[in-house]
Amino acid sequence: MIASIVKGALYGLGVRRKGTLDGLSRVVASALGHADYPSVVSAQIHEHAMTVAKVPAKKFFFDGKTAVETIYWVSKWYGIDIPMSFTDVYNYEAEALGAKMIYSGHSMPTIDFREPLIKKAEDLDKIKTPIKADWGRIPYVIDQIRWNAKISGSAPIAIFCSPFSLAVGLRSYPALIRDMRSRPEFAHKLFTWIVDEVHVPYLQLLKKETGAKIAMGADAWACYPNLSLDMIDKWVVPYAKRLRKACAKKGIIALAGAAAGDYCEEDPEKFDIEIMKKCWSMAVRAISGIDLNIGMPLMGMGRTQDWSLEALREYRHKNKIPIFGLLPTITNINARFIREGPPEKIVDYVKRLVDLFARDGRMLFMFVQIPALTPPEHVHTAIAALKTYGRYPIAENLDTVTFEKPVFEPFEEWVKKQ
Amino acid sequence: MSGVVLSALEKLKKCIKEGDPDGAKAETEKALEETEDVSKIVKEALVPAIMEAGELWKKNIYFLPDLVMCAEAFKESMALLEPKLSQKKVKSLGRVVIGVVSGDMHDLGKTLVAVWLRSTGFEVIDLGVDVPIETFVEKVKELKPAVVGISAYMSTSMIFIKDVIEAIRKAGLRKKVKIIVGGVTTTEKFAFDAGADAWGRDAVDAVEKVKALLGVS
Repeated sequence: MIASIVKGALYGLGVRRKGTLDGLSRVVASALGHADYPSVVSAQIHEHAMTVAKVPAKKFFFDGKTAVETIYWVSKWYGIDIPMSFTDVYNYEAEALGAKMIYSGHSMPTIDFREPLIKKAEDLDKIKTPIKADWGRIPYVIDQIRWNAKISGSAPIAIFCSPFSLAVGLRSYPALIRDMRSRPEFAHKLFTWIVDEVHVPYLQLLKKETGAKIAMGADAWACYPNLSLDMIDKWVVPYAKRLRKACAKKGIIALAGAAAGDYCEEDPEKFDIEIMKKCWSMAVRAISGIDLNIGMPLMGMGRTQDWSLEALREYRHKNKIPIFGLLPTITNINARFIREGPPEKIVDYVKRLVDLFARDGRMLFMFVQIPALTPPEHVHTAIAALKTYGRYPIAENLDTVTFEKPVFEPFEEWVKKQ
Repeated sequence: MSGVVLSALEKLKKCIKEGDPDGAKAETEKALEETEDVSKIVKEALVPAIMEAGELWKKNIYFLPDLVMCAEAFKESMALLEPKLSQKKVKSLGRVVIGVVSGDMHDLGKTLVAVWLRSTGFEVIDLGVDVPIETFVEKVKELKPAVVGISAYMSTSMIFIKDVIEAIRKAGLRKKVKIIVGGVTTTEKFAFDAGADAWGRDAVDAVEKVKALLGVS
């Protein structure tokens, strides 16, 4: 792992650009300068991987090894450099604490929001903590962390459901919002309880079982515009900080609240670059506690294909870091866009990203989510377009570059040869 | 007397627009003490409050929490008004059956759409979440709605939207009902490919689409 990081750093900074890059070294090189082409990372592709590999949901969501291996091999088939191989991260803790779940033969488990675990304020005092290693699907979580580390050769990393999203899972979104407005003292009690009684001992448990000293918190419920910026500031950032501090004392780096930087506006007419910039700064504050006016450009889950990408580029160039230079930028392809395509539009979009961001270096490309029914051709096409147009040195005029439709073996045939 | 009632209605409207469920409940009780004209309360307080909240949503002034709290306030008020409304023959813009597909428990978007439709004057039969395909078909047969709203949140459950529409078609009911699709994983293209008549991006948009489908304003 260290060798890959060093190799990627030397390549990215232009000190030594020889040999082939593996997934990790390509990510490092892309963040620091440029690799052979912009690196591809992914999160939340579990439902898609399960569908492509034809693994039954009852196995995929209960057998950690199967889940990790499935995501790993499907990612490898596509050419994704680093996949985040976790599954239904918003359910584990709530399920272990006793939330009613619905398990189906075709989908991931889901919390039954009709009957939240905390229906009344008094219910909070009845929930038993701390979470134990054999509660709910915690053995499945532990297996995923172990197998992820084993298969990727990296240090074990835990993943958890951040305080706000867990509060939604336990209380339901409307009831929680109502608490935050009408009964703030109860809402603060709930968030404090989640951090102190649930997360801190839970992350200690995961560390004990797997050795994971880094824990990353998913928090989609806290994304803008699920919450306004003021609400993120008041309800997400302080509890991310509380968790970070408490975990640091236990030797764990807990990163919660990063999703605050994920600007998820769906309506192109409501796209607002100023709000987006504030989201990025908010994410830096949630993760690090440092109050900066700039944040790392992250295109996240929003409908990026309809945004003014030129405005993002301008932001990047206006906010260079002294000595370091351009901010690394995580570009993205929207989940519904990758599902629907068509391939020609995907190619045009990736070409536009390369033209605006890769040309200057420090561009990463992320699949934030690949929906279950996405035709594999679309994913292969996106990556092929990135490798074609984003191959360094990048052509002056991308229109002169010929793109060839990718040819790929069906997954089941390809995986047999691995 | 009229001035007092208007003042109570204004307060109720404010509570709903600003998303204050407890206030909405209290003001509805007061309004009911002042007048027996329940339709007037709905028309002059609830409907404009929800409409104005929708406009603020479109302008990026209101966010999801604001809409959800408006809906909560509306529900508190309607819980008191509905028993009295049902005693009267109230003309509806049309009957809408709405539900979330099988295996999917996410009801936030669907509930918002139901509230917005009700506030606009539609009769809404909310089938809830995790609704089997057969239930959609049975309810279309039994209740003869003008519109069916089908929602899904998960990328694995959205496939059932197409199955619901196909089942409605096979039952020979497709021409008798308009179908609108919604949910965060869906798109307009998906909705049309699945055989729906319209797609609602959010609650406010969905109401406009339903009105357009039925040619009402």
